[in-house]
Amino acid sequence: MSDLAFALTPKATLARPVQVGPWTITEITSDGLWSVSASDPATVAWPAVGRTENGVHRIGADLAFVETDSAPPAPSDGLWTTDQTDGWTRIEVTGGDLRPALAYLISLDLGDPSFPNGACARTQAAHLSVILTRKAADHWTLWTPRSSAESFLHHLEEACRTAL
Amino acid sequence: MSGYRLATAGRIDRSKPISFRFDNTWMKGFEGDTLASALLANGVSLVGRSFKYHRPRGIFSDGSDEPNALVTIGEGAAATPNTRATMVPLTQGLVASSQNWRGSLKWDLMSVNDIAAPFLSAGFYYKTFMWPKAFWEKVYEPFIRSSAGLGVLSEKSDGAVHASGWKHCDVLVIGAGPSGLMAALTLGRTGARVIVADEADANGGRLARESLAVGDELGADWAVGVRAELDSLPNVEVLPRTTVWGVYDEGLYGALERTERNGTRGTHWRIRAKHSILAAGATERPIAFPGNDRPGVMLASAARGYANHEGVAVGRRVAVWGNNDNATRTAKDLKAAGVRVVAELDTRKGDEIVRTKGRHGLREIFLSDDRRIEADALAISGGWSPNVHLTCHHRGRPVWDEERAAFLPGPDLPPGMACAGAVTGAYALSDALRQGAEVGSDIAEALGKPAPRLNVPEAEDDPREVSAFWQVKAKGRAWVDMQNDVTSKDIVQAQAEGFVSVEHAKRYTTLGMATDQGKTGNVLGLALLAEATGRTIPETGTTIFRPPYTPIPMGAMAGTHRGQHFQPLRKTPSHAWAKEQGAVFTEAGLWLRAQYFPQPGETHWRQSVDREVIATRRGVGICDVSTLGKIDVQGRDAAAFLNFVYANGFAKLAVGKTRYGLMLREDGFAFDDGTCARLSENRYMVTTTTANAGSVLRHMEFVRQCLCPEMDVHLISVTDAWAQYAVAGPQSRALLQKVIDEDISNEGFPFMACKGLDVAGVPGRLFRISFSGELAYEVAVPTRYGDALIRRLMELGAPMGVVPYGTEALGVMRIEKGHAAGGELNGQTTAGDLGLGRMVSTKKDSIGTVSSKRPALEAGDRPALVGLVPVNKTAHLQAGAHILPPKVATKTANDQGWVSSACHSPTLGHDIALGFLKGGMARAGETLVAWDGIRGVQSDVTVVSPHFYDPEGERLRV
Repeated sequence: MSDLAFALTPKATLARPVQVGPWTITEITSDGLWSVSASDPATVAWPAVGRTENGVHRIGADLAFVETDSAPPAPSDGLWTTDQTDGWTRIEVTGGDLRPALAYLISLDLGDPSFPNGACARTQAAHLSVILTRKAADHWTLWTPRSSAESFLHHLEEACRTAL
Repeated sequence: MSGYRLATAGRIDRSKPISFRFDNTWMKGFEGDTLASALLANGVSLVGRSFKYHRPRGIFSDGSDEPNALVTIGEGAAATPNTRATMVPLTQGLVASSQNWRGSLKWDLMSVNDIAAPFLSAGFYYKTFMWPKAFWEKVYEPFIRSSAGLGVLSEKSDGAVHASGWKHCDVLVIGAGPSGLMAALTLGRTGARVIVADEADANGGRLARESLAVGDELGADWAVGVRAELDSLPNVEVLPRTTVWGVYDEGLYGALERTERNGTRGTHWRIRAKHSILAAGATERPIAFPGNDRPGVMLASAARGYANHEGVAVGRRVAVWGNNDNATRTAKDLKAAGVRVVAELDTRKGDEIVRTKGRHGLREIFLSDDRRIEADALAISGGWSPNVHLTCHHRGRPVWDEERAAFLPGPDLPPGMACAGAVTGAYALSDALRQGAEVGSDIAEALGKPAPRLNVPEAEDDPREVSAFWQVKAKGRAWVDMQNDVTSKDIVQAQAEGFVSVEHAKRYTTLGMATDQGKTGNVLGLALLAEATGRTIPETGTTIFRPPYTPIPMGAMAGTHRGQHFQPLRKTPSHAWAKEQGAVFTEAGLWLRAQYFPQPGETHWRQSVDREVIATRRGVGICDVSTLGKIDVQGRDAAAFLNFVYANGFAKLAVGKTRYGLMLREDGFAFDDGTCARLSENRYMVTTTTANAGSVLRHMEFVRQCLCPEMDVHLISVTDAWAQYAVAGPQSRALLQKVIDEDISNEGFPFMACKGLDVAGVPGRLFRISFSGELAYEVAVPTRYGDALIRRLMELGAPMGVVPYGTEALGVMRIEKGHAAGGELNGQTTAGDLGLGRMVSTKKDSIGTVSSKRPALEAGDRPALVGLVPVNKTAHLQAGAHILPPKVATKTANDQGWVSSACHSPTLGHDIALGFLKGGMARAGETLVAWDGIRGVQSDVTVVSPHFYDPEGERLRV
């Protein structure tokens, strides 16, 4: 009974990349995403809070989101893992400095000193949860809950248009 | 015609003419004009009517302090009323209209109010409309409302959207006058992150409108040069046409940028700044004298500014009058620009204007020494009031400075704020420049930046000796607050009637309560109140300044969050499929859920819902329940934690079992209910109601972090990660067995079992729980497979007559079964009220347990859950009806409860309801009345068990 052809749901919001001005907005569907919570964070080799390293996004003192295209993080005593792959939609934006557009969505200070390359945060955008990481000023990854991803994408596109 | 365009003066671009319309007349202006300057250039002196007396009014100022020239911009739905003509840049095709008249602007029928002025003084409304009492709602209020206000809203959506966003900086410089520019330049050169916000074009503030020199060049040119350097610095952002309107906690500033950008009408910014420099300048104030509101009377700085900046003469014969050196400079500038100045009057020389004349505009002025001067414009200066407003937004009080006859910023500034320039009383240009540089340097040092040595440019000093002179005491009305039509007599009258406190006098007279917030009139009004009460101005005090500094459109507050953008929309995994089936959707929280699935031939929603219920109870039905909140709970202390959060016991829940759980609030009332499944030794899946998903997780996080920090427990929402379907009905097992290999028989998978297993080859989960009262399961797969699963289940179930059912059928079946939901869990009911009192464990401590034992919550006469059926089985019951004994008056004293949920039961063939009744089930069998006053219906009902269907629960255990 494993021969069913399953489709992504909700129906892929981004059947193909969206272009707004210099920005290319693309949905990435391949990688897995796991949340990992630690009983004793001091014993875990995580990056500092608010930093991303090797696919580990440390968004809280005892919480990290781990991006993986292979095996999920191995559960162990004191490390509590949850598969979040289907809970979040991953959106990549490239092609231009996204910060003028993000200024319409996100209340955090995304200036170079406060949010350099490799920074990450879990915050709110247009009343929606979002995890954002900065790879470069013109390369950002945004995760947003899947059920409302269409709304988020709409707000992101509108913000980009306003920032043009 | 009272005004004209000067031949050469000004900084407008005469090569770029602009056409615009005012009322019904098309006129010409130039790029660089404001609507106000263009109107003056076209000889328009009458631009509106006053608020109360409908007096003719003209342009009074050249900035955001304008009290008179309020116009409507645009037409139809897009019309924006009460816009200050002084703040509107002239654009091609601009349409503006005058306001507040009946008939025409020139011949306003409502100007009869001016004749009746002796009866309309301060307190008129309070004294006059007291009797007869019945007249208030039917006569007085409608009449006053129809006459009130200035501009009129279109009451239609204009379709325009304001953007909103956030900015961050080290230093926010408020105002781009000489001190603001100097401070920004000082800081910008250190590399500090600077934002400069200016309500005009950020090219020098008042300096751009003056003839003063900085170094070897005109001050206005110096400002343009500084602006160019600021624009070139990557760490500096200049926001022209941006008003900082409020100061809030932690360095948060509200700012409205009026520049239209990519279809937005403007942007509302929330700016976080470590420091701010208030360089907001000062506002010139008038003198109160009889007839000082006539069109043509304006502030001296405005008359000077229009000549210097827009090349407009405000009249053909201009008189100048003041109590300070500013008036002298005005006459000098006007003459240099080619304006004819017919009189230079100075209160310090004893010149006092006692009367003016002119029907729709100034024609003559009369002096106390019997001189009569023909003039179509009068430029007046009563001194300057520093714009201290933002310094007061954290409740700081300004302090009176006798030398300058003005309020200056007090010692209690908002944290991080410093002041520079005219706002501190540093009126001289050289002082303003130096102070800007010094404040900028100080802040640079505080930020740890190397403070640069700046050469403060030499500047032409302009003496501003002020001799306090507030009013001319002569016969006739002298206006203090132009926009709210408050005269000096109103102030005196308020004092005479006992309103000696400045706050009371303000409210009694409405001084300073109009949209301009009394920028030109407040200090004058305070001075007159002080005179009337025999006190000094410091003794009189001032009213507190609150945000906003200037009017902010409600649309700017809303930003993009309007219409469909008011809130996000969440879609279920089966949304696309349900849409293909023609489902009717309803909003549940943020979710869009299928309400019912109409089939061909069904003409009423009840037909669809009845069919879905019956088909499910007889065969099998499927409902998308992915919207229920799902919280993954893990940790060594997960069991202890849940035992503390839930009112019923969870310590002994076995792995592979699910339990119904009830959460109480701290105050003992019921909070939420749901199920909790133990997936492994240290892992649970908590489900919540759809509506409470967020609040339950927040509550549990609070308990985890604040009440049980010693526990090792970890919470995370997985609501979006799982597609979950309720598969209900006698055939549900047979259907699921087609996609699940494992044994899910009653023996292999009994009621309340749970398990992780393969669902059509996909790792999923199965729960044997039932909300419908039938044999039922909830099957979950990762969300990406949700669409495929619903399609496959419907395909495989077709031979069994499977139906999808929506939230309506879900609701009907839960009422038939007597399950509590939103109507019952309304925050006012206890576990006892819900018939769940025995669930509250007495063997452990949990949140709300102690409070739930309070006597009032255990009182026997509390309304408790009952079932209700109509005596006449064709009668309809409605949620919200009150329950009354038969044959009593419908009043609160006789109220015995309410109907919380109601529906038509296709299973029973008549309406049924759940409700809360004093005495609860002890009154089973009684006949009462369900009285629905709002809908105007009532029905006799019989009290029955709330479990209408299968009360023994046999069907769900088969």
